[in-house]
Amino acid sequence: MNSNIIEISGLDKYYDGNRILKSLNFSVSSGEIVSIIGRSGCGKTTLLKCVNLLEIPENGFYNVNDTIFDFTNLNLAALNTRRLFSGQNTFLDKADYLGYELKTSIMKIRRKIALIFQSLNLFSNLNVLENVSLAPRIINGLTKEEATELAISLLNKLNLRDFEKRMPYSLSGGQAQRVAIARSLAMNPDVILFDEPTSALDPELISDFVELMKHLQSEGITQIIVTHQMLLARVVADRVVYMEEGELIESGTPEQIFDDPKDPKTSSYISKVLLR
Amino acid sequence: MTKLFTLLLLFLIVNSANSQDLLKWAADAEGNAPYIFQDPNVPDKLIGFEIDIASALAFELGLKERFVQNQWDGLIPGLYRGDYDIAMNGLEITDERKIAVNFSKPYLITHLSIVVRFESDSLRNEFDLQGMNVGALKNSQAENVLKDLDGVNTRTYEGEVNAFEDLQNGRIDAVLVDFPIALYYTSINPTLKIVGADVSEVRYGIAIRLDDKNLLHTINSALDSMIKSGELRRILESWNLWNQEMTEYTNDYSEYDLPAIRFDYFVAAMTKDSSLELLFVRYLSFIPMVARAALMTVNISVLSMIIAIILGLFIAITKVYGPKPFSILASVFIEVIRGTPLLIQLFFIFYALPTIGIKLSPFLAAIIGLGLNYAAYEAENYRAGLFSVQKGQIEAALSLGMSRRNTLRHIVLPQAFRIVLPPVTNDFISLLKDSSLVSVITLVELTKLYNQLSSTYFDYIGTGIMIAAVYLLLGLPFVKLSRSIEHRMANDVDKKKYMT
Repeated sequence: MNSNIIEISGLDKYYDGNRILKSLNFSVSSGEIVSIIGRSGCGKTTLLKCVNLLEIPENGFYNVNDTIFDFTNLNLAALNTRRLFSGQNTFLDKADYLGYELKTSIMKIRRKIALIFQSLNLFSNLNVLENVSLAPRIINGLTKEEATELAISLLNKLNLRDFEKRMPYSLSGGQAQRVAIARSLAMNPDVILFDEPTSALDPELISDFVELMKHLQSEGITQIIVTHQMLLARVVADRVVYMEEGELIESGTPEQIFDDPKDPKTSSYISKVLLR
Repeated sequence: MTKLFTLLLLFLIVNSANSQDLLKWAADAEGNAPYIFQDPNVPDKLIGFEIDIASALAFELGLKERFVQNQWDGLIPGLYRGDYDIAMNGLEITDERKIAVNFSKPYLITHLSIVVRFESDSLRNEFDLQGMNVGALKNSQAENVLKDLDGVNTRTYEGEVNAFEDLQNGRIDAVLVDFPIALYYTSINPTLKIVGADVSEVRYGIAIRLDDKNLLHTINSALDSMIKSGELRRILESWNLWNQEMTEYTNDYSEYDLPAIRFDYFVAAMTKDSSLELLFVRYLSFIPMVARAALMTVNISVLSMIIAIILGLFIAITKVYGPKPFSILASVFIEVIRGTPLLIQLFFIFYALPTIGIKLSPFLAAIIGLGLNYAAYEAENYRAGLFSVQKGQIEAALSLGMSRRNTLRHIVLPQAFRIVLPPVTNDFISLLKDSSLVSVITLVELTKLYNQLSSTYFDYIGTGIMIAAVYLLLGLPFVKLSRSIEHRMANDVDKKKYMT
C-alpha cells in the first residue's frame, strides 16, 4: 500500500493548442487535505479535472488509488484518427476515444475520486433524492430502495432532512452544495476534489464548511481544495500548493507558504493577496 | 415498425396490382363541367361527357373501366409512371404535347369562345379583344391564341371558375375559353354571355404512352366504331356538345336531334333555388366524403410524423454524436431537404424514382416524402434540445463515472424532451396542413376535396369554412395531448417543490 493516494508526474494538458499544465508533478498522501492557490487561469481547475480524469492529459504518469496510467505512451496518432472519425461535439466523453480497457479503468477512477464543481451542476431534471441516488443505482447496481435508503441517510447526515423532494432550482447555494457533496459521497469516494467551494456560500457558512471537511477527513477521505479564500486555504489544509501558469511553484505547510515563502513568485503573490 | 412497413408494402403491392381486363383512365375531377365533375345532386358520384365516353370505350373493348384521379398537370407524367393507360381530360392535341405522348383521333372537335359580362358590347371576333384584359386557362390553346394577338393583356388562371369570377367582378374584360366550358358556365350564370364568332378549332384527343402503339390502334378503332354506330353522337348530343365541326368530322349529316338530357339535368340542378334548407341538406351530403378525406389527411399526417420523429431523432443523434463522416452526411441530408421545396421532393419521389425502377404507390410516396421532409426539421428541433442541456450537468454525470449512454438517457434526453415537445407539436399541426400538397400525386385529401366541391358548386365560403373547421378539429386533440404532457411535467416539478 502506497502512502501517496495520488502520484502524478510529467502532467501536460493542452486546450486548443494552448499548454495549460506544464510537466506538472503532483502528489497527495492518503487522508491529507491539500489547498491549491494561485491566480485565475493558472490551471487549478484543469488540474482537478485531470486528477478526476474527466479530462484526459496529453502526457503524464499516474499512480492513483493503486492504479497506474501512462498517458505518455498513448499513441497520439491513433488517438487523433479516432477523434477525426468520432463526433466532433464538445459534450462527448473524451475517454471514449481511448478504447474499452483504458476507458473502463478511467471510469473506475472517476467513481473513487469525486469532483465537486464550482457551479455544482446538480441534475436539473431530478429532485434532490434522485440526484443523490441516481449514480449508486445505475453504476453500483443498487436497487431503488437501497439507493433511496443510502441517499436519505446521506441527506440526513448533511442536514438536508426534508429536502428530498425539492428540485435543484429551489435550493439556496449552501443547500445545493451539500446536495452535490451528498451526490459524491453516495459513490463512497476515497478522494473529494472541491473547486472554489466557498463561492456559493454566505461568509458565515464558511466555518460550517470547514467543519464538514474536517469531519470528512476524520472518516479517512482525502481532499483537495482549490480556493481564493486564503484564510480557508490556511485553516483547513495540511499542505498548501502554489500554482502559476500551469506550473507547480511551491508546496509546503500553511505556515511555511503564507509566512515564509521560499520562491520569489510565491512571495510576490502572497504579499499581494494578503495586502502586505 | 417492421410491421408497419410490411403493411405499407402490402398496400403498395395491392395498389399496383395489374389487371389485364381493366381500362384504366385518368382525369382530374376538379369541377370541370361538362368534362368530369361531381353530380350536383349526388356529390359522391362523378359525371361528365368524358366519363360517358370512357364507359362506351371500355364497353367497345370488352374491358372494365377504372377511373384514376390525378392532378391535371400530372396527367401525362402519370401515364409514364404506369398508374393508368390513357388520359382523357380536355387535352388539346398540340404539337408540344405530341412530343411527349401519342394522341388518338379526336373524340370532340370544338372551338374557343369569347365570354363577356352580359351588359358588355358585343364583339365580332378575337381581334376585337385588342386593348382589353383577357383571361385564359394556363397551358391552354386559348393562352397560345392570345399570345399571338397584339395589344391584348393576357391573364392566366389555374381554373376557369377564378377567371369567370374575375370577369364578373370587372377585374378582366373577357375570357377566352373552350366552348364546352363557356356553354356550361354561361348557362347557369345569367350575368355572362358568349359573344362573337368561333375563334379557333380545338381538338380533344386521348393521350397514350408513345411506346403503346397497340393501344393507340385499339383506341382509334374503338372510336371509329363509336362514330359509326352513332354512340359518340348520342353522348355528345345528350351533353349539348354536338356541333357543325363534329358533323363534318364524322360525316354524320343525319337530321335527327336528340334531347340534351344531361345538359338540362346540369342546368336544372345548378339553378335550383338554394334555400337554406337545401344548402343544409347539401352540406349533410358532403359528410361521408369529408370524413373519407379527413381520414386520408390524418393517416398521411400521423404516419409521416411517426417517420419524422423516429428518423429525426436518429439523424440528430448521428449529427451530434456520430462519427464525423456520418455526421456530415446527416448535415447534408438536413440542408438539402430543408433547402428544397416539398412539392418538388414529392414530384421527384413520385415521378422521377420510377425511371430507376422504384415505383411507390401514391400513399407510400406521400408519407415517405412528407416523413423525410419533416425528419429534417425534427432533427434540428432535437439538436436544439440536446444543446440546451447545460454542459456542466453532462460533465457532472461523467465525473461521477456514469457512461455516455446513461448520461444521455438519464440526464440529456429527459431535459431535451421537455424543450422539444412544443416545437414538435407545432410541426405536426403544420404537417397536417402541408399534407394538402399530396393532392399533386393523385391523393384526394381535405384540400383537394375542398377544391372539387367548391368549384362544382361555386361555393367557396360555405365549403371553405367547413373544411377549415375540419382541419382545426383534427389538430386540436394533438395540441391538447401535448399540453397535458407539458402540464404534467410542470406539475411534477411543482409537486416535488412543495412536498416538503
